[in-house]
Amino acid sequence: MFSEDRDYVERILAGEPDVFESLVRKYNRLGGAIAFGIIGDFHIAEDVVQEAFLTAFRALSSLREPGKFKFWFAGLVRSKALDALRQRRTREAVPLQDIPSGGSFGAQSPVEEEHLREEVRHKVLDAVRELPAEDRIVVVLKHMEGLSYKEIAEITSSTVSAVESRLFRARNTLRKKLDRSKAP
Amino acid sequence: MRPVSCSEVDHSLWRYIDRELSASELSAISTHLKGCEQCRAQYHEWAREASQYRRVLDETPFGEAFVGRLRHRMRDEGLFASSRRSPLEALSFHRRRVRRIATVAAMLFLIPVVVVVGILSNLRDPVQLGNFTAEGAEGGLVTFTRHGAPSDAPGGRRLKQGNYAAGDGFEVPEGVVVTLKLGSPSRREDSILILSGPASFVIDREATKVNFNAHLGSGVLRADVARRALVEPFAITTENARVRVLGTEFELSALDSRTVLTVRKGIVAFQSIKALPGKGSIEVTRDKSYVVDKDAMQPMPLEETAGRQDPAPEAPPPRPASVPSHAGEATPPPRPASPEASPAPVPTRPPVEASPKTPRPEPDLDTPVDR
Repeated sequence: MFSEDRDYVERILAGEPDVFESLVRKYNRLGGAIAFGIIGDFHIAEDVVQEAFLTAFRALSSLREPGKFKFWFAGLVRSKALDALRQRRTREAVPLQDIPSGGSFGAQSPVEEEHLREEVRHKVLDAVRELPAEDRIVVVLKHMEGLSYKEIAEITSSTVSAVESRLFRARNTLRKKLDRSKAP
Repeated sequence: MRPVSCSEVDHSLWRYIDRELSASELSAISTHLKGCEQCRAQYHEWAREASQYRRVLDETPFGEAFVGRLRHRMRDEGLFASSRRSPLEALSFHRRRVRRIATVAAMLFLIPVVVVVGILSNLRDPVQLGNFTAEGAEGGLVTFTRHGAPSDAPGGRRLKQGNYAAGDGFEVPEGVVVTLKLGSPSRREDSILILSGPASFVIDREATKVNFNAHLGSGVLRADVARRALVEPFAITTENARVRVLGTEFELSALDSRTVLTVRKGIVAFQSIKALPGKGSIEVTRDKSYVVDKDAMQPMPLEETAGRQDPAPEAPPPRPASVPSHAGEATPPPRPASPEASPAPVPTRPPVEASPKTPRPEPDLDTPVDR
């Protein structure tokens, strides 16, 4: 994995900028997981990840260990996501938006099952957004990207045991919120 | 392997679902879940939760659509227009690369231990180990657990083929045969592992091509292991035994709390899980079969246990005709596709049918796993 990233970076720096798309394809979901985990809003998360990739492209020659692109990029996303969160908090409160109602990012059909599915989806997303940021990011990195505890710890500058206990706490919180939302 | 209690399972259940346990720990909990309704209900509830979170978080604005949007944006901003670096930038880059190569060469010359440690630690990074194919009854699908995902959560992957890596698991239904190829760490031939369903097999999370460990929870495994160096261990554990292989062909079955090993070629070290370190290991040679029963301290020759009530011996499953041979033969003979007669009685499942019994509509298949 690291040698592949080193090859990509060296080729980009040697004059093949189109190869950057391979890194975008490889890490855009990871970036999205980190950004959404911190901010809790997919629209803002997408902007943050785009900005992070643009910064990475412009600053690629400063990357001292090309094989470590993944963690360097994760750090960029984290930094920009925290900036975005700070800016958001200083502005007037804006309702958290996810996607247009009735919409996933694919096609929808106006059938009852689809409505139910979307309702469940919004409840789960709302519950995830309401988690404290440090718990939300581990849940998102685990369930959106399937990262190991060790990888999550590395990205969040934490320890494996802290990741495990945050995941446990977050999952308990989500279960209680979702059980309450099912109650009549 | 000692049984685990309900409180131990409760303490480890999320790590089990997240595949953060070793192969033997996974197996111990699997065994407990099969026999404990309460813990199993808890597992199913939590696995459903995990699956629900994964499904919801899977629908995001990221993926290929994002890649396309960013590509357009970068082109609009002219970032790709300046594709060629200026001669000065190119020279600077090349100078830095030369300096880097010189630094690495100096390290290799002056600090060889550091380089070896670095190479070994890179080799321990989880890597793709090889690929697998499934064939047999009912479409020949195997349930494949990606490292980190619950095995039987709704929407789990049922595949005919794909790539696998450390931490991945296979649940093979009855009548299905899965062939795994394990890449060689030293550019020699691949090793071949054949699982005959019903079987449960999990690759150790820390496994690499150099240091391969896996756990056969149940079922029959046939292995043709390419010659490996002493520093390239290859081991399979079951509930009550451990097999360590240097380069050979063998059949291992883990059924009804008995582990039976039959060696076809080469030599295999066979040991009870309960044996003390460095003790109780038997070297099983060609055409010999040994068994480790539940709670046994060491393997016994299978003939000595013939008086017990064993399942009726059945022919071993057919092996794909393309499986190469390794142990010391300069020109490997072609392997017969039909089931081979076993030199010693080995309790196995009924012969696997190579084609589905009755035609059924093909289920929707996930795209093959590719890392």
